[in-house]
Amino acid sequence: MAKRSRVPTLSPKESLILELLVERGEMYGLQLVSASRRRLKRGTVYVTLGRMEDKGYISSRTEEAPPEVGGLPRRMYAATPFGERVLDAWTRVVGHLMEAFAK
Amino acid sequence: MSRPGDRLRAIAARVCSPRALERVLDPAIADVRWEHQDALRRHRRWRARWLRITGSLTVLYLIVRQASVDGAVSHRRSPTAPITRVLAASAALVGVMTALLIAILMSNTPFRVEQPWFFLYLLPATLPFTVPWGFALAVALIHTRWCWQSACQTLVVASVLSVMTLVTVGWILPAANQAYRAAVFGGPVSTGFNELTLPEMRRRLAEERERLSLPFGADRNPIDPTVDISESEYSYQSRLAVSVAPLAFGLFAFGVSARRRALRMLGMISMVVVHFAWYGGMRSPVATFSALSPTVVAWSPNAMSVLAAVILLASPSPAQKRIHRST
Repeated sequence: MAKRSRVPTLSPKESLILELLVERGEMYGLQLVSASRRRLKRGTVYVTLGRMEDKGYISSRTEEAPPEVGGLPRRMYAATPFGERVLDAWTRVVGHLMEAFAK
Repeated sequence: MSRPGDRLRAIAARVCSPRALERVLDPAIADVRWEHQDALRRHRRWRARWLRITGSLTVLYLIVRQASVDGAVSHRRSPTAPITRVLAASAALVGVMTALLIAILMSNTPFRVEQPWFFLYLLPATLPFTVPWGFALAVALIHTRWCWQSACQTLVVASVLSVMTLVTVGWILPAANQAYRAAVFGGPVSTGFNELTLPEMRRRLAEERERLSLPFGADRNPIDPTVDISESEYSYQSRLAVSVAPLAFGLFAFGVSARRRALRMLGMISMVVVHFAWYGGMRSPVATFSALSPTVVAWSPNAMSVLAAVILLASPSPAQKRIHRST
């Protein structure tokens, strides 16, 4: 049986993260939380970022840590070209829907 | 001084998958450490303390969440998951369910109590419910194929949990109940039957039987309805029955674990509902089943769980039949 192609979808949180990353460039988890003005929560942002990376919407790189931070590298996230395209298409679809339901 | 998240990372490394550690927990801990270090560099000590507290709570939440998710995923991937996964998932589930139950109880308390540690009095009352639920749910989610090793491990852990529950309901719960009542009424309160320890309850029941001239084992006089100690007998027996619940429910969960997901979920939800309705409901089941002995009423959820477990273990699931045929 042929594999079904999946339509990319965006949850409100994923959409917000992509918007912030496209608008402001590379960011880390807590930076996204403070930039979202409490719309993103500390407890869920990392899980959402991991899921978005699996879907290919964002990519990440590690930033080497100074010794006083304990050697744990900070993970910086950025939107991929695919993520940018999905956000663009999603924004247009949502816009059309809003127009249709406003009538 | 240790860095934020040092101990929590060590716990996460034991209970979470390497992928969850790399993708979720390490970035969270690293961010907290970077911001904490940044605050210290700017001499903002209170901000650094605040970041340490909130960051640790976030990481703790993520560990509990990921341990539960990993437990559920490992049940699909590895049929004989080690007991450590069951224990990690149990701890996570018990923690979450206890917090929820205490929050519900606190929100329903009609009294305003100024003591900040008031919720600790409710802990011994909630754990005898959440421990068997969490453990049984973890067993049902993680074990998918029966083998002697996992059966023995489940029995040992369930027995240890039963002993711990017996100590809790037998000695800690009465003291906590009494302290709760004293805190609510704002002074000393006389000790009720439910605030007695198990040996005190047994002694009180024997005294009552002697006073009312009831023969040994009898709890009511069929001719004189005023001579009735069935409620007290039920309280005593239900405490003993609740202590054995981790063993009975663990056995049931092990029996249902090799079945289809829908059946597993239905079985576990029914078990939790019956257990809570029986022992945690506002109305005592003794009044509903007055024709039965309070001992039979108190022990019936355990008896039903063990009976269901025996039936499930005696009849292999279709998947197991296929395994037997192929070997």
